[in-house]
Amino acid sequence: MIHEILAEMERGTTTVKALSRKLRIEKSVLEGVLQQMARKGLIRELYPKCRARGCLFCPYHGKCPDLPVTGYEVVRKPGPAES
Amino acid sequence: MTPKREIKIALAGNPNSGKTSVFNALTGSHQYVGNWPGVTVEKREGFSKYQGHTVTVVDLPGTYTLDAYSIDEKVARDFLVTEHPDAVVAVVDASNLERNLYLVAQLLELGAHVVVALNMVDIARSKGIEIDLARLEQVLGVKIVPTIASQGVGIEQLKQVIHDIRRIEIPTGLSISYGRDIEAALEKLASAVESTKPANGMASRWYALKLLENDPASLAEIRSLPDAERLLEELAGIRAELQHKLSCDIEIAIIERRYGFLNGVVKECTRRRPGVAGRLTMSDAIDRVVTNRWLGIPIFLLLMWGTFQLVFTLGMPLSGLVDRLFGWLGAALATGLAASQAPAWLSSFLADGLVSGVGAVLVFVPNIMLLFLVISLLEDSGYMARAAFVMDRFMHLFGLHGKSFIPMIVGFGCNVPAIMATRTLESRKDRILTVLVNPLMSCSARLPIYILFAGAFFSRQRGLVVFSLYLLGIVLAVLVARLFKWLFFKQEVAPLIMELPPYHLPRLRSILTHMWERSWLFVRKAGTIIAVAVAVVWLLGSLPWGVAYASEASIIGRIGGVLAPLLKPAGFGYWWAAAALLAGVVAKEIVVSTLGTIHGVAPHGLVDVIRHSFTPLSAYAFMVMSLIYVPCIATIAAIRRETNWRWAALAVGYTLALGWLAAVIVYQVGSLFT
Repeated sequence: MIHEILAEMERGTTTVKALSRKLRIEKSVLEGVLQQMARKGLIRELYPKCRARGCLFCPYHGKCPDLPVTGYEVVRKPGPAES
Repeated sequence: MTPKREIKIALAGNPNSGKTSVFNALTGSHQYVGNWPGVTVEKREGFSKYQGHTVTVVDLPGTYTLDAYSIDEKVARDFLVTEHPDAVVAVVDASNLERNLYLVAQLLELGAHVVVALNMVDIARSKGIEIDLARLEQVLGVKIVPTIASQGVGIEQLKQVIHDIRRIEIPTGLSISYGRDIEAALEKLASAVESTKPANGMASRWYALKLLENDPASLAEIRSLPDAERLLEELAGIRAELQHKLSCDIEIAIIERRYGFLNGVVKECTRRRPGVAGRLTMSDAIDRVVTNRWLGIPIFLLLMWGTFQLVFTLGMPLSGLVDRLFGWLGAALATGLAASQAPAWLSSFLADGLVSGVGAVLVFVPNIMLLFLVISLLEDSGYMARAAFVMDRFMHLFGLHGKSFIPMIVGFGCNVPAIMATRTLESRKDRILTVLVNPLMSCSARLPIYILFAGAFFSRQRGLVVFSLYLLGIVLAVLVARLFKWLFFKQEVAPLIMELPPYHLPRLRSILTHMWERSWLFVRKAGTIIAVAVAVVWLLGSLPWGVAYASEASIIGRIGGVLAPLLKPAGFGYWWAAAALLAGVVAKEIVVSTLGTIHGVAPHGLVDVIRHSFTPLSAYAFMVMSLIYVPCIATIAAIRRETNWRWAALAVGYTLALGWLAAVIVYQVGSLFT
């Protein structure tokens, strides 16, 4: 299942729902598998919030706009994320 | 032997499985809340009396697994391992059976006495899911009680099962078959564990499994044992041998087998009623069109085009009212100043400077508010996530990271937070690349320039013209990013899987609040930075003393005069156009306020002035230049902050060159056809 998910992700960006339909995995199960894949470092969760510290030049001044996307991305090289 | 009169049970389950409802139904008002020792996770405990027995119920934190990665999972697992409750009531959401059973499987593998409260059976039924309870009990080897805890259905039966817990025989230690190689490794490891395992009575097979899974908590427990070294050595040997045999990672293989087993269980024990199961929700139906491979981008573009049509169609009459207000204010000010015999410089400063300059920007507040209204509407409805998804595919066509488009969408509002938002990208290379191209996204500060010029020259197609500029920004951003990627950041693009939130009707209050907050920032900017810039431009237009205000002999005239020849090939080689673009580096709205200040005309009069000097073609070239050339100071500072001076200098340099080149191309090529 995990290999199929990774293979599908490699084919191009998709959504959880579309992948669940394609692989015939229940969406909630797929979410669980994705969570475990993230724990194992195979994929990485996207952060939907701005993580900037200090908003001196930011006109939003703490009223940060929510980024509209959540999900996961494939980790190319396992190990600590680039900083 | 007389059975104990006290029974201790633990309540386990996934978040949102209805565990709290079961807990409340079992314990009523006999509850107390505290913290789990050493952590800030809430611990809820309660008790109930049933047929002469006291049943203590400990509500474990909601978890999906017992892998001990999160504090919640560790707390739940530690309790089960150390406290040995008489039974674990696993609350399972019947409408999400397969996912919920993962935890049940782990509880059974742990060797716990499990009773399943199959909750929300009504929801499962409404989704067309029929569960064969007898078969499920048989396959898992557990007692199952169907419940609808929120309505108290099944709770009495659950209490009875808990009461009888010591009398009924509950098999322990579910044995999922993990395949020949893993099973052989498990057997070897389990016998090694048997001789050294912690004296807590948990199943050796479970420990062996956890050790093969590299479970940090189990490894820590093993390490604390006197004979740890030998066992760890043995573990390393078994893992190495198993890894050699398996074609994939051991942990992944175990997870796959466990899910495979549960998938089989669910297939065997459930049936989906045809017609109900798999029915498309409204969100699915909309997504089939909106995120369609071929229709997604045209729909996104159509929405953008519609947005600008609305910004003009509804915005211009409203901005006309603001224009009239400033006209009246300017006239009243002139009359008042003349009557009070105020010095000429003060009259000039207030009328030519502040009212004309700041008014030239504020007149577009209704348009800006409308733009933010539509953006808020799209965000609140859930469409923006779809826009990011369809554009992600487009970005991938150019070998770019789709996530980069997310900060770009923010850039439609303002480039500064958009640059800050690039911090959501993990890779430094992706971050720098996205930061560098972000100024090409047309922020709301450029809108006054577009509205002024498009309104003056393209009255019928003004919405289309502004739309084309936004589109040009996106296309250039993608092309420049491709170029920079090729030049500086050669790396592969990581694919994504996105979670799209369901659509919902936008809440009026929420979208109005967003619109107001963002528009207010624009108004505040007009009252601060733009007002100061207007004062500086007025001063430069008045100095040296004695020259005609805002003439070519003034300081600003001389500066603009030096730059103007460079802009001639683009069709707008006027000193005041050059001066406005130069001042616009402070903030893009200042381009318009500078034009207003230099010409000393009320906002509406500015349209006449530019109509006199520009042609539609040179006006479009001017807008292209305004879109691309040099980011504003706040954006440059943000780029430097997020990268370094080198990249900030590159951003300034390339945008200036590209802006000029694009404007010249537009004008020169356009001249061939006009």
